[in-house]
Amino acid sequence: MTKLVIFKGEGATVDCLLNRFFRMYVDGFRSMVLGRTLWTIILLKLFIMFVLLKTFFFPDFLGTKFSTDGERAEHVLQNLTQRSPR
Amino acid sequence: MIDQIDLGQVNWARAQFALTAGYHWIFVPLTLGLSFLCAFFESIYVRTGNEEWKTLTRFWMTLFAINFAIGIATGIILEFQFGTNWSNYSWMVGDIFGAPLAIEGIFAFFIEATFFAVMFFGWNRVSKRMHLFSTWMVAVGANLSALWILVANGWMQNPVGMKFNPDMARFEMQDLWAVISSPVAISHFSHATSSGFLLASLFVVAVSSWFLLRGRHLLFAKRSIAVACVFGLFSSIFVAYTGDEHAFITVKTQPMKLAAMEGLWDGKSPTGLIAMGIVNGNKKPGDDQPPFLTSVEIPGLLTLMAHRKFKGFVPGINDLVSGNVGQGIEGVDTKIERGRLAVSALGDYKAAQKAGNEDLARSALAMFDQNRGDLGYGYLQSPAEAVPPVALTFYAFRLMVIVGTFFILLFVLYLWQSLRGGLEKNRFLLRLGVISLFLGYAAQQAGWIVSEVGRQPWAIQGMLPVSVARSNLDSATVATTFFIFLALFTALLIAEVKIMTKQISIGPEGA
Repeated sequence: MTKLVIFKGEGATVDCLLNRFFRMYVDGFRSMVLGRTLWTIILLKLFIMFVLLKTFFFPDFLGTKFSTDGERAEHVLQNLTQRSPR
Repeated sequence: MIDQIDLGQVNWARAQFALTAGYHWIFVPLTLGLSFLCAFFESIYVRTGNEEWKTLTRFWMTLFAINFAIGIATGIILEFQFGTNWSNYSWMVGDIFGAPLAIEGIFAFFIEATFFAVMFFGWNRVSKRMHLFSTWMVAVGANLSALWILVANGWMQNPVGMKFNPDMARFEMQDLWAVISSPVAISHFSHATSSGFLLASLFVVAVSSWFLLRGRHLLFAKRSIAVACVFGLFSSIFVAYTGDEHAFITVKTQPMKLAAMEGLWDGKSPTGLIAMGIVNGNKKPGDDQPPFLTSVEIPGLLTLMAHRKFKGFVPGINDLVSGNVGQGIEGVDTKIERGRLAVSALGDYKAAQKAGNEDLARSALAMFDQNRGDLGYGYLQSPAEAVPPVALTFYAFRLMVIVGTFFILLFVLYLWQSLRGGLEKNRFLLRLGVISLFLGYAAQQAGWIVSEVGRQPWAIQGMLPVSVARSNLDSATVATTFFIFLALFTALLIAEVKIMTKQISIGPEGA
């Protein structure tokens, strides 16, 4: 049976494995070239979406107007019973 | 009491959702398909040990990363819109969508945080097999993420496994397996993901063809084309098969959508399929106007698609709107009557509960239960409102099918030329390959137009029309955010195209 080797020349201990995983992330982020641009775009996009858009333009309509689920259900039920063209 | 329905607000909210979903679906299908192509390329590298395949894999992985980075989280905006523009809908489906979307989030987070990092940072650090395993896991994980979203969408098209709770105004999950294994959900998933494989194959073919046209990286390009064409050919055939399966299911679950897709106003047995035609945009249900200004029909084909045999009735829009006693089809007016009884009973139930009148509440609930299956029809003003936009659905469907069929031919031609040798000399085919990428994107968007425009006026088929699903907001607020999104997404698309083209022009050495 062949042994699954995760890291090249890996040691046997869990600590060693975790350390190597950690180093892989650190070195990976450090050595990025195109990745830096892509991460900048991702972070800028997340800032625009979660900080600007979500805060100022996309409040949770029911979450902000009502404090309990009962009130929210009441509001939706009111819409459901009053929007019929009957 | 009639609440004034602000159709302007509904339409702005719909336009905003369509814009966001449309942009989101520019990035998603390429991610779904290119992840598998990267896995194929790397598998060849691991199998052969040839470093050129590693360079090739890393090039396509770089383009995959660009697309992934630009596209990531664009779908979250759809969730913002649920909470703001579609709060009634969002509240009502919270119990159904909670589970699939939570599973999607967990999948996406764990797979992307671990295997994605190994895929990009792990070259020369982890073993070849571990790296290959990570690449495959990213491909499988990305596609499994799509599964949950498409299950949620499939439920909206065919709401199963749930019961409406009149106390909380929510659809509550009764059977998760029924939701996941719904034929509509499965066919949505298989059709959408395989169309992503097809698009990614077109992408690889288009970029590689561009290299061949420029006389650069010839071996690299031909190898990429060979793998992409095999994947693309299988995918395009599977897309056609799942599309046919989807139509077969749609005739049972959403007959009005199928009638709109085909521009079929009066059902027949057998019914022909309109191969191409010019839709009469003035036609209304029940009038005597011809459905097409001109058309070419293939006799009996629609019946074959709908029933898998040349016998059988396919209902048209008029049959569904006005009913067809001979075929046992109920008209929309009957459903509207029952729907209004359900809405009225819901109101009575709520009022009786408030007043503490248990007997009245019980009888109102019994009345609601009798008619709950047509709840959504109670909100329609007239039977004609149950008809989706026919022309847009009809043309989008034809664009998707014609272009999809062309792709099968394109991949066959590419494979044939690759096997014969001399692909780089066939400049006409190479140019066609480059142009086909844009056709691929057009087909992707057309597919969603068929799926989503074709099911109007429903947010949840038969249960909740979009006019009731919306929040009580004014049009100006929604219109403002529409233009903000237009600007944001256009900027992202420009960034993607710019970075992608720059990276492509650098070539495999820059990966």
